[in-house]
Amino acid sequence: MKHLQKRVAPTFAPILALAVAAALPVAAEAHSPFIVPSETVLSRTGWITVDGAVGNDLFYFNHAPLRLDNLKVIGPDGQAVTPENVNTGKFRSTFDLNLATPGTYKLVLTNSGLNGQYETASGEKKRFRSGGGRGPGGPGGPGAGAPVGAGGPGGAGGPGGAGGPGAGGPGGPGGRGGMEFTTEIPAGAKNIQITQQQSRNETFVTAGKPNDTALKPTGEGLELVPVTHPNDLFAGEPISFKFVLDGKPVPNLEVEVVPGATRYRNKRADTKFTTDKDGVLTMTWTDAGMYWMEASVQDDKPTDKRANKRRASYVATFEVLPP
Amino acid sequence: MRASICASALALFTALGASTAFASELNVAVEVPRLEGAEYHRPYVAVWIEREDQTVATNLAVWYETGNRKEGTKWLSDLRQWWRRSGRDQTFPIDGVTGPTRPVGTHQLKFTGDKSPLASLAAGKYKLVVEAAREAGGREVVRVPFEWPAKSAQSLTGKGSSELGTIALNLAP
Repeated sequence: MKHLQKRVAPTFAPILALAVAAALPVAAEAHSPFIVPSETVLSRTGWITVDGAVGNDLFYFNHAPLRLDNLKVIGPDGQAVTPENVNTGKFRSTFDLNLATPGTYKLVLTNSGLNGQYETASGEKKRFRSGGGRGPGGPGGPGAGAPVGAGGPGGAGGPGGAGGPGAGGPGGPGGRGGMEFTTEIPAGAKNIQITQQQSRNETFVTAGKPNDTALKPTGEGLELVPVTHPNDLFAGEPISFKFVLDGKPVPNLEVEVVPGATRYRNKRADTKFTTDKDGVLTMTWTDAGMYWMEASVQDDKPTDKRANKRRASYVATFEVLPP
Repeated sequence: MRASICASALALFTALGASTAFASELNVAVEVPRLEGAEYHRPYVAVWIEREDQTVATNLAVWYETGNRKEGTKWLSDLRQWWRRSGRDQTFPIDGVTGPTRPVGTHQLKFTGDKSPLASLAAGKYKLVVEAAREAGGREVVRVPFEWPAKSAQSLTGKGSSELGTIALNLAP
C-alpha cells in the first residue's frame, strides 16, 4: 500500500480524475439486499437456482436487482465454483449453480470502497465515492478468481476504468490493484472525511453431508463464523453464530433478524439480538422459513489507511426447516 | 402317555424360553394410512431408534423409490429429521435397511436381540422414531419411547394424525 500512500498524500495535492467503478453497492442504505437459493439442503449433488435482489420486502422482487459483479461461490474444497446462466433483469438477478461435489457451498457478494465528503477552499461541500474491487490494494492481473468479471484493475497510472471483461476474463493489464482510489479532491480542501465501506452478503447451501471448509472467515470486514452449521437450522432449536471484525470477535454487536413473507403479515416482526462478550449470538428460530439477518459496525479503525473511518456490514439469508 | 409327553415338551419349551436375552425381540408395525386425494404417491418412510440425545442408535428401515434411478434419492432429504440425524452421512442403498416404498397397509419389521442391529444396542432409554414424507402430501414424525432391553413383554403404540397411522412397538424380553 506504500505506493498508494505516496500518490495520495494527506493534503491531496495532486488533482486526480474521478473514478466511479462499475460495481458500486446500491446506494439507498434503507434497502435490504438479499440472495435466496431455491433450496439449501439437498440430499445429493445437483443444480439449484438462486435469486438476488434489493428491496425492503423480504423476499419479494419489487425494487432493484442485485448486482452480481462481485459474486463469488466457494465450494466444499475451498475452490471457486462458476455460476451459470447469470442474468440481471429489472427487479431480480438470477443464476444457476451446479453443486457437483458433496459438501457445503458459500455464495458471497462483497463490496468495498471509499466514500466521503470534503469542503473546497471556497466552503462548498462535495461528496465523492470510489471503489469496486473486492478489497484494498492487491496486484492486478487475470480476473483474480472472481468467476463473474470483477471489474479488473485499471491500467497502470490511469483512472480506474470500468473493469475488465466479465465472466472470468482476464482483468486489465497488471495495475495497481482491485481498487483505484482516484477522486477530485482539490488542493486546499478541508474537513475531509473518508469512510471505508466493507459489505458482505452471503448465503449457504449443502449437498449431501455438510462440511465447513467454505465457511472459514477471510479476516476482512464483518463476518459470521458458524458455530451451528448454517444448513442445520430448525424451528424451535437454539443456534449459535460468532461474529468477527477483521478476524476478531465482536462483543455487544446488535444483529437484526427478519423472517421472510413480510407481505403477508401486518408486523415486520424483526428481532434484535446482541452478541455476548465472546462475539457469539445465541438465538432460537420461532418458525420455519427463510430469514434475513443484518449487522453492521462503524468505527475509526479502517484497514484501508486512506480512510479515517470505517463501516463494515454483514447480511445473510438462512433457511430454517420445520422440526 | 400323552400327558407325560406333553408335560416333558412343556418343560423343554419352558427351559428354552427361560434361557435369556437371545430370545429377545423388537417388532415394529408401521401403518401407511389410506388417504384421499386426486394424486397419491407412496410415502418415503424412515424408521430408526434414537438415543436420549436424539442421535441415531440404529436405522431400522428406509423406504424410498429405489427403482427411480434418476430421482429416487433426491427426495430423501424431505425426511428432514432422519436426513440430518443420519441420512446425510450414508451412501445408498443401505444394506439391510433401505427398500422400496410400501403401499397402504400395515407393514411389519422384526428384529431379534441376538442379531444386528439390536445385538450392539446398549442398554438404555430410547425412542422408536418413524418419519414419513409424501409427494404432493405432508410430512409427519411419530415417536414411541421404550427401554432396552425389555424387562417384560410390552405393546407400545404411537399414532400419527396425517401421514402415518398406528405405529406399534412390541417388545419381548
